[in-house]
Amino acid sequence: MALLEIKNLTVEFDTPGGVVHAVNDLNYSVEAGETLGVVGESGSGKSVHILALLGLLPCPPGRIVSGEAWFDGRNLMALSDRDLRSIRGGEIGMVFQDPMSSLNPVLTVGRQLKEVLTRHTNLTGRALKARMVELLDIVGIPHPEARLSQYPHEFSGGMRQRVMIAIGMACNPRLLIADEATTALDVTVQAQILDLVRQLKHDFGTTVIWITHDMGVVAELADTIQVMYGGRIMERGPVRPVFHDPRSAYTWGLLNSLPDEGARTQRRLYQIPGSPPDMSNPPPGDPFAPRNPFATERCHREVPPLRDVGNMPGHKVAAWYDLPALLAAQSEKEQTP
Amino acid sequence: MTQPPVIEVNGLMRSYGGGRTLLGREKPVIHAINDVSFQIAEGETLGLVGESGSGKSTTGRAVLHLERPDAGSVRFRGTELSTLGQQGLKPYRKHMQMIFQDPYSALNPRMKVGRFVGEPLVVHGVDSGSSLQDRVAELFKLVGLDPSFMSRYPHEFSGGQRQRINIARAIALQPGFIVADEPITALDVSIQAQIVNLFQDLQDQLGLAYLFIAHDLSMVRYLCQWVAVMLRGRIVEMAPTEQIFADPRHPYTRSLLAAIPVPDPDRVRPDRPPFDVAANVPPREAPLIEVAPDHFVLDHQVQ
Repeated sequence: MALLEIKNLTVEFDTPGGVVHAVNDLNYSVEAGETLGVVGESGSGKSVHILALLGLLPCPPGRIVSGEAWFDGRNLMALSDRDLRSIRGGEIGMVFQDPMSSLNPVLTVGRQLKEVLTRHTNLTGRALKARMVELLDIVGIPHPEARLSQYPHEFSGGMRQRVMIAIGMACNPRLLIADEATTALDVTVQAQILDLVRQLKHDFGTTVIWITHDMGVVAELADTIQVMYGGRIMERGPVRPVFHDPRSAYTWGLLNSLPDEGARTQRRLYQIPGSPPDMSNPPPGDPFAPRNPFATERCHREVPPLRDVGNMPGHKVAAWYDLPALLAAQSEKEQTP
Repeated sequence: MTQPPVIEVNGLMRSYGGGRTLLGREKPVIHAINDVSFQIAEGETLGLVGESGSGKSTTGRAVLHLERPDAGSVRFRGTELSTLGQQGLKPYRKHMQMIFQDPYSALNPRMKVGRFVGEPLVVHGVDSGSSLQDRVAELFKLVGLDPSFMSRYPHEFSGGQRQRINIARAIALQPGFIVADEPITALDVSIQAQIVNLFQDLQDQLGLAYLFIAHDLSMVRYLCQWVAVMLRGRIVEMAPTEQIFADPRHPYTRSLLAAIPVPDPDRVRPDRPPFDVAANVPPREAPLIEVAPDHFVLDHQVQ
């Protein structure tokens, strides 16, 4: 059963340079217990659509043109601020990229944890304190009891991000949304945080939306990958078929531009040409068409719908072309002199 | 190492703090880097990796003498830099350049990018007038930018293009050595490969040597002939790239390599050996020992 279902979400920004089309008619759902990895670069709409459905989008300049986000039978987009506040931090936990700006520097970490817990649970007194200690302990912060009375500046970057995860997980959320939560961290700390999220999924069956630009993190953590570009979904499906048999030229390009694991075999990395699109003046058709060496005339003209592809259920692509056929033709051409 | 070294660093030290505060309290001394030594051959790349705060950037700045090291020696093509004054350093600054992580804040927002790229040529009195314009246009082409962009301002460019502009300025004086401090970290994924390829092309064409400071170990493996791993201000392991990936000896290197996320869902995740940095601060006195040809490990926890 879908825990979250997003329907026809369109978000725009009014800027001096014109209207920025940040999210364009987005539709997808996340099943209960699933981990969805959302991949994209700047202008892909991966962060904006999440802020919009959580009611955290600054409006203006943002504007939600249309859309519904059904979470457990309630349309988040239609709820009052008050109702939304009781869901955020409670049933839906959030972890954002920059722990220093998400934590209040003049309040102790304990006070900030307490705020979330008293808002969303009935815990008081000794039980509340015990839960706070337990949470810091779960995220692997040593000496949790002493740490509660410390301020954010007394924590290292990795420890602060753990505090953010502790706050995000405080009320055993049914849905945890993390936006580039480990991007600023060292790889060793990132690995610990990923282990921790896996543990939480295992223990509590938490549903997770993990937004990142790192294909490696998605491969490790996610069941389903969703590749976004130009405010649209380019490809989506279970991680194995998407990584092994990508059908969007953008996904293919992203995977190919990573260095091979193992000894250096390539002289040059594959590079996707061009730059991310200017969403105040988006291309009329497939947003990736201007950078796509395989683009057909139709790609430049008409936005492709998301269609089923391959053998695995749930694997979908938005493309007018047939990538495997094009790649096969290309390698044939390279082999015949 | 077949080529002669372009840079030889020996026993480099840099600390911050010390002295007293306004109220007379003693400020603690923090040893940002301690006894750092390495060489980079002409036309080669050394990757410098380690956690944030391990002293990677300080090392880069101290090597270029953007920050005076407290002790130690830096030789550029055989000339000792540490004993030179500001005036004495100036001719060497031409040959050693730096590229920063954030391509936007490194640019001057009010200066047309053509002038920005040509500025080092003017400052060092290398070029002026119409030959300067020609040289800047040539630099733009070299980094893959249309020379007609010269009269634009930084805000008109994307992140990848801005980094190309910074690179054009860094190579304007035909340096032999460039310190690149996390030069692709702030860029979009689809742009990172473009910039890494540009680094390679420029190395091939101009014979540049790089000190490539990074935390993306898979890019380091791809781009660098040598890797040095830093922990709390010290190099704890250094070796040819494939050697260090095949046979890491220091426990910190091992934990670092095991933590790289691999973009393959079928890959079984290796067990991650726990490594407590705080409990494993490398001692200030321990020497690097050669455990295999060209493979150096700090002698406090060799495995």
